[in-house]
Amino acid sequence: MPPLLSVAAHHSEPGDPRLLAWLMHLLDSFIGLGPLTIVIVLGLIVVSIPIGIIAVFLTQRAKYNS
Amino acid sequence: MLQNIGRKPIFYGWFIVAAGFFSLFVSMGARNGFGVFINPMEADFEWGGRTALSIVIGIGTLMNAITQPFIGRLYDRFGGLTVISVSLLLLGLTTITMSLTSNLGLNFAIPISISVNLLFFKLDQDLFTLTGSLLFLIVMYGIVMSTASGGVSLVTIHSLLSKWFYRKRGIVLSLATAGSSVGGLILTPFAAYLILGTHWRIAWLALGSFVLLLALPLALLIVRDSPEKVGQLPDGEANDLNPKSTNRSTAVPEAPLETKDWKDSFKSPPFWQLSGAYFVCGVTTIIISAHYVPFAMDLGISAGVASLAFGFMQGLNAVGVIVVGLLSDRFSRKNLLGIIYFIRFLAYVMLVTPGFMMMLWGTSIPPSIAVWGFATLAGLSWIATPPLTSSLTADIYGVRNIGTLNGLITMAHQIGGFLSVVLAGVLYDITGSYEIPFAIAGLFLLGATLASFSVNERKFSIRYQLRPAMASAAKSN
Repeated sequence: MPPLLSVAAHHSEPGDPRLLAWLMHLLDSFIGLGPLTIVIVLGLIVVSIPIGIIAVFLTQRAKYNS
Repeated sequence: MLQNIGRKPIFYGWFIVAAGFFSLFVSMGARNGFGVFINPMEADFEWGGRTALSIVIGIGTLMNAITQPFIGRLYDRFGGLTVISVSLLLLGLTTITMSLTSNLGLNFAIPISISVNLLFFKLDQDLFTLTGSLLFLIVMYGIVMSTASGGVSLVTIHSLLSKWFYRKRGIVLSLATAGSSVGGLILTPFAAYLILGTHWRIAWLALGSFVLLLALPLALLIVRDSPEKVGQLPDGEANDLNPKSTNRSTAVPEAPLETKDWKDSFKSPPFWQLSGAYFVCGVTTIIISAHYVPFAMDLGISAGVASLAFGFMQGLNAVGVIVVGLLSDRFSRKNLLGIIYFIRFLAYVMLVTPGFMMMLWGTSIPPSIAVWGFATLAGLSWIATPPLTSSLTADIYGVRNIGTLNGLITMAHQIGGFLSVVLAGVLYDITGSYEIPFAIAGLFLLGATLASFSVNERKFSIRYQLRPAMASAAKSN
């Protein structure tokens, strides 16, 4: 990986493609699911976070503002 | 209403923590994910090697570093809701626009080369050919996206949470920081598999949609600039949900070194102690991100095992930051920060030991012990420093100029990291090994340890100076 490509990978910068490829290979061998199945599972996890937060927030607001 | 008697509502600040966690989750995830787009985009546009993309990412990193203090200033002036929402909007739109990367009909190809001739360093090399699509990427990713993500970064989220929490500042900032780590862990494979199953343009579209359709509405609905906006006190001391209520005291009292003008902070030692230590944090983390795998391979470790050790180290991030966050609300924050830097120093000692032992005595410990030992120690300390540094800054300098100060300190971190990567590369070329640059970085950590321990927290921190005032404020409600 050329130096500039990896600069500031600490907090916010792109991951190492070689590491990512290796991890994907590892995940494939363990899980054995197709790429789109993994995308759907991970996507559902992402979507569920804000929905969960908003649900609790609105429930509390309705409960204590009534 | 009867069933609510005796049950306290959740303090509004915890919803701010959740919104901050998710904002960092998507913003850091989107930027981290860029790594998986490199190969497929390069294949489509034939940019002629990694150097071109390195330049784009390098510009993005520098832009992100330089703009942090300005974004912090905007935060102090316009508040968290405005800056975070506008940044999320811009970040989402830019991420979606990345899916439209093309030559835009600009059919030019300008060769770019570099020629440097210093005393011992000579470089004369063709770098890349500037094309329309590369120019598009430089503007969209290198400038706009990198600047926008600065508005949804540890600088703004930590500054916002510092206004909402006083007693639990350590754990709260740590929880939000963990969002950046978890975001990378989930969104990067998400993007990678989406590219594998569809096309990189769809993956950019999906990442941008997460920002625009999930994070932005969440921020608009929940984020409020300070507890007073919803009639509460930091940490939920009053828990009075009526914003018009007059039966409450005003927020956190002034911190010992709080000043009207942020520039006055330069006159006191803690600013330089924290900035200096954070500069070293940048030096010692970013150098590893760039050079760890090649270094381990030099020691005879396979690329796969080296990558696994690096991945293991990243995975320990979230554990380390939460544990430190919990401890930091009970114990001295500057001591914890010093201990974290010292642990990282020990990690570096472990890393360079095999090489130096081999040089001095011709025999050494197994390199795998060094690589895995380093991964464990460094992983635990990897992102434990940002919440400690930000909470100490807020404790000492208050929240009036917290965005600007966090931005300046973060800029020191990013510049340290940038310089370390470049200098490590140069030293590697001169010495033929990573031991010298890593040993120098390790020695810097001793300086960071001393700088952290020497912060006079008892004298300058609001935690030690104004606790009685907070207690009486809470009691009056």
